[in-house]
Amino acid sequence: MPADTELERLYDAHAQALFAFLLNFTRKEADTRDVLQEVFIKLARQPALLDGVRDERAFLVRLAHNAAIDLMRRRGTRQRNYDQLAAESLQLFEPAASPDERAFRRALTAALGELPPDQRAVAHLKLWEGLTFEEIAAQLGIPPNTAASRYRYAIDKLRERLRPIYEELK
Amino acid sequence: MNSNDFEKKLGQQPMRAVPAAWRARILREARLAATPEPPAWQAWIRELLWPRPMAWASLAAAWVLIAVLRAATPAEPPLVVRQTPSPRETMQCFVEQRRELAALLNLSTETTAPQKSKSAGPRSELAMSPASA
Repeated sequence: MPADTELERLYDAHAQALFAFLLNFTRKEADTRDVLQEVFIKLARQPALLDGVRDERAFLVRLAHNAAIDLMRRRGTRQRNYDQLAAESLQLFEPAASPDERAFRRALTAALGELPPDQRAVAHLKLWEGLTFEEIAAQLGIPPNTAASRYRYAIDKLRERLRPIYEELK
Repeated sequence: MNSNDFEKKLGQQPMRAVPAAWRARILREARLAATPEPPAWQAWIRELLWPRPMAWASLAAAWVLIAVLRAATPAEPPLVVRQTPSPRETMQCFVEQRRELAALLNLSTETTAPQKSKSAGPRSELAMSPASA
């Protein structure tokens, strides 16, 4: 097991990024917490998991992504209606001071929720983690071309959905 | 709408911070999960007791109550042990009773003893005896 201090270091270094990715991907705070906990339990149980890993963040995002997919599969279709209700009250971004920004963030949260999860994952890593398509492809275990095309689809949908409020804010 | 500006605008929206209370909880759970599991016998005991802890506690309380009541009750007098006579004593007693019965009936103890039948001898002797002649 990594020493307690090592586990704490990993948490302090990566928990925020993993939290944002998982919250955007799962759209549920409870699922985000469960998956984040599962990732750190795995790290505590398997001491050699990070041995030889060059990019800790990339490795942990991949671990979290796989755990989130497993969780969503386990949940199945029965919880989809409940998930929809939970997603509507989701707070994905920090609260904004101005009403316009607040409205934009609300609209963005809703627009992201309308994307398929695989497009949302790519969009998140590109927009909020600033990764290249090669890096995204490596983290999600998909070809770089697939990552690029998913991103294009996602951006097109977001632009279409957010155009009115974006133009208004400009 | 400039695509780069739009993407830049999206990326500038600050994501919510991870709740501060999660840190302690997640790290504690991770440490607990990493601790070695208890020995098999402890797990067996736990598995045995865990489904009905109230039932086991009630049973234990009943036994304690029984023990307390037993300790509080005064001790009973010792039971008289009746000894059964040995076969030899029984025989002696029987002989004694027989003797008393014989005395009551005015019979000598000798006569009460079983007489050996005269006809118990060999037939040749019977033929030679004067009574039979």
